[in-house]
Amino acid sequence: MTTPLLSIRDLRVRIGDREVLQGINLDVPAGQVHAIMGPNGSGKSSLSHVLAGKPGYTVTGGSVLFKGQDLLALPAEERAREGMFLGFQYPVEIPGVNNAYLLRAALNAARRHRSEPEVDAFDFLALVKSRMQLMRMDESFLSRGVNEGFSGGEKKRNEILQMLVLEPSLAVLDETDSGLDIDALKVVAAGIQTLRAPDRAIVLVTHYQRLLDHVAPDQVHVLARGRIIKSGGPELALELERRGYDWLLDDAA
Amino acid sequence: MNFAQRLQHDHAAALSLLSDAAVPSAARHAALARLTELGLPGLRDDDFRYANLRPLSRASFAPAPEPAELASQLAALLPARLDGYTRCVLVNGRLATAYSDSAAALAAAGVGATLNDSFEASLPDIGPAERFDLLNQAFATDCLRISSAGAVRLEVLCISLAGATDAASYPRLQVQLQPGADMTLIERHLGGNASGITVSTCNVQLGRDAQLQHYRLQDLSLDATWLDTLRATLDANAHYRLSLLALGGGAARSSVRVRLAGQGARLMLNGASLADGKRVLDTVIRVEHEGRDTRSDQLLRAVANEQSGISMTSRVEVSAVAGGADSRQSLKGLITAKGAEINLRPQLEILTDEVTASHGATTGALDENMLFYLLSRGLEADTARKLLEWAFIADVMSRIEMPALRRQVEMATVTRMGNAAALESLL
Ligand SMILES: Nc1ncnc2c1ncn2[C@@H]1O[C@H](COP(=O)(O)OP(=O)(O)OP(=O)(O)O)[C@@H](O)[C@H]1O
Ligand SMILES: [Mg+2]
Repeated sequence: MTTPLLSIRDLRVRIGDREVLQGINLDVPAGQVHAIMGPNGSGKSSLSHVLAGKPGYTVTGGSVLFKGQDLLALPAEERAREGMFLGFQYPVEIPGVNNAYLLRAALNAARRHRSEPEVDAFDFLALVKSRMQLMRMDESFLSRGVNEGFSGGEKKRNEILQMLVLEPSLAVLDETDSGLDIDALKVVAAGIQTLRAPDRAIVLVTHYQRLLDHVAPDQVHVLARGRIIKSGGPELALELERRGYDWLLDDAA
Repeated sequence: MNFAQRLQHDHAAALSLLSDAAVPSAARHAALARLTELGLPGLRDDDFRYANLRPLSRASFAPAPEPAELASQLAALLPARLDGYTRCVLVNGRLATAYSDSAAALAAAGVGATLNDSFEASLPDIGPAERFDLLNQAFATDCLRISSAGAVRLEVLCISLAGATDAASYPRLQVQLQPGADMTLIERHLGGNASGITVSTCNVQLGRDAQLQHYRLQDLSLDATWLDTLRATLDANAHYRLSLLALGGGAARSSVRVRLAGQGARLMLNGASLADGKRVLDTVIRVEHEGRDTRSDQLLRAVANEQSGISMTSRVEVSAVAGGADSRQSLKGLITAKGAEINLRPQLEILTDEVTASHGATTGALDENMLFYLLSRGLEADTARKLLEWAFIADVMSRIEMPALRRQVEMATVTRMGNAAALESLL
């Protein structure tokens, strides 16, 4: 087996004096889609944030390798340029920062990092417009402030739009399916599908089977009380849908 | 010598430069006497609590002589001309005819521009907060009087140039709009240096139904001292849209006083101050609602970096006869470093019941969640911070309605913010 794209070993993380991650072990090989499910407050967003480098979390033990390098040693912006993308559960509104500007600045930051030339305005616009079409987003979103006044579903679509423009090697999508209407879920799922490639991996944090109907996962993990308490194939998600989490929590306790 | 002695001394020494036509000698002496009586603001003077007046303890008050050779120094300071705007240039407080449109060209554009004519005294209603207007009145070398009855667009550049010796600049403007007139006035203060203070005064009078869009851009050099007074009086239904942008200056103080005298008069004031280093920018605004159904909207933003200090005081007074008044004040400050300081003071004094008033003032650091969002997309930390600073004043910028001017102001702002390369593509 080749080394996985993402490899998490016994990761322990605190917020203040609360241990929110209590020894996470997870391998995500390139080419695969993994789903992480689990009860509210179990640590799913915390894990996503720690991977992206959000301040406020103290790593007290363990390691994370991304493409074979120590992910936790990199500042957030370098993780992004290395191809790590976090789709936020609650994307923040940034009035006054133009959506198109952010997309272009982000794309160019990654390109400079790979010693590629910056995109010119024309190519950029063509790229963004084609991705917006895919996401069924009106071009007027480009000239608005980042997520400013976007509806819940529009914010999630915007996250996927950014992902499609940046084409990361690892996308961690934290409840991107929450708050989407039925049609939007299909659009978002199609967007995620286009990113699937042998050299990329996707981690879907979700509460529902719905998204997994469209984006079939290779593996499903259950995160509870800061630990991954069960892993399995796609059938595990279906079982969770039927039975909830109690049976697992009882087992684990 | 103390302040009063220095004033008297410098004034006596400068008499040959001070024309009776710009300011009548009696008015000069009256101003000098009143200023001597008021003295320099003390530490406990609330109107000047946050101003840096230290440069005044050593400044020379003598007006700078007419510079002999302008071209080389001016070339670097003069902004590109804006389409459709006539232009007047004051250098060290004197009209520079070679760089200004001719009286005929101004007249053809509907601008009445006269020099040293129909002086209006600042006395007797000068408030202690506006006392540096007295300094201007005592020492002003020229007084540019602008008037209009129609629709006009004019740019006035007030430029302070370094001289061989310490000397002060005293630009003085009087703006008078006849009833129904409609003017866009761009007033910029540029140049300056550590050795000379700039003491500017602008008196504005808006007749009934007149409209003035007044852009004031202070982009002096970072070691300049600026003491500025702007006073405006509005007749019935006059509409004053005022933008105050303070980008430069090492020690800058601007005192603004707007009287909404006539029924239905309106003030829309947008302001942004941006500082870094150890610079101190102080703005004190006083709005007086005197007429019925008057309205004032104020949107003020401050961004303080490094060890700079910015203060904005906005005092709204609603008189007993100003029923139906509507006042809104929004003040926000952004502090980006531990050593920086922002003081926002919205104040409201209401002497009638029949008023709608709202005010808010908040000061905070950069939003960590916004910052992380930008970093998580790969932006440089420094770029991300600057971007959020930019976003903080975007409201004020977006209210500059004239695209060509907005572009110039945005470029000037980005230049002052540093990291121009990263931000330029914003514009
Ligand atoms: N800043 C914080 N301070 C204190 N506790 C926090 C903080 N952030 C998160 N927590 C706690 O950490 C735990 C894990 O939160 P996290 O957001 O990771 O859960 P989650 O699995 O994503 O839940 P959900 O499904 O509701 O999104 C929760 O109990 C939460 O209250
Ligand atoms: Mg969560």
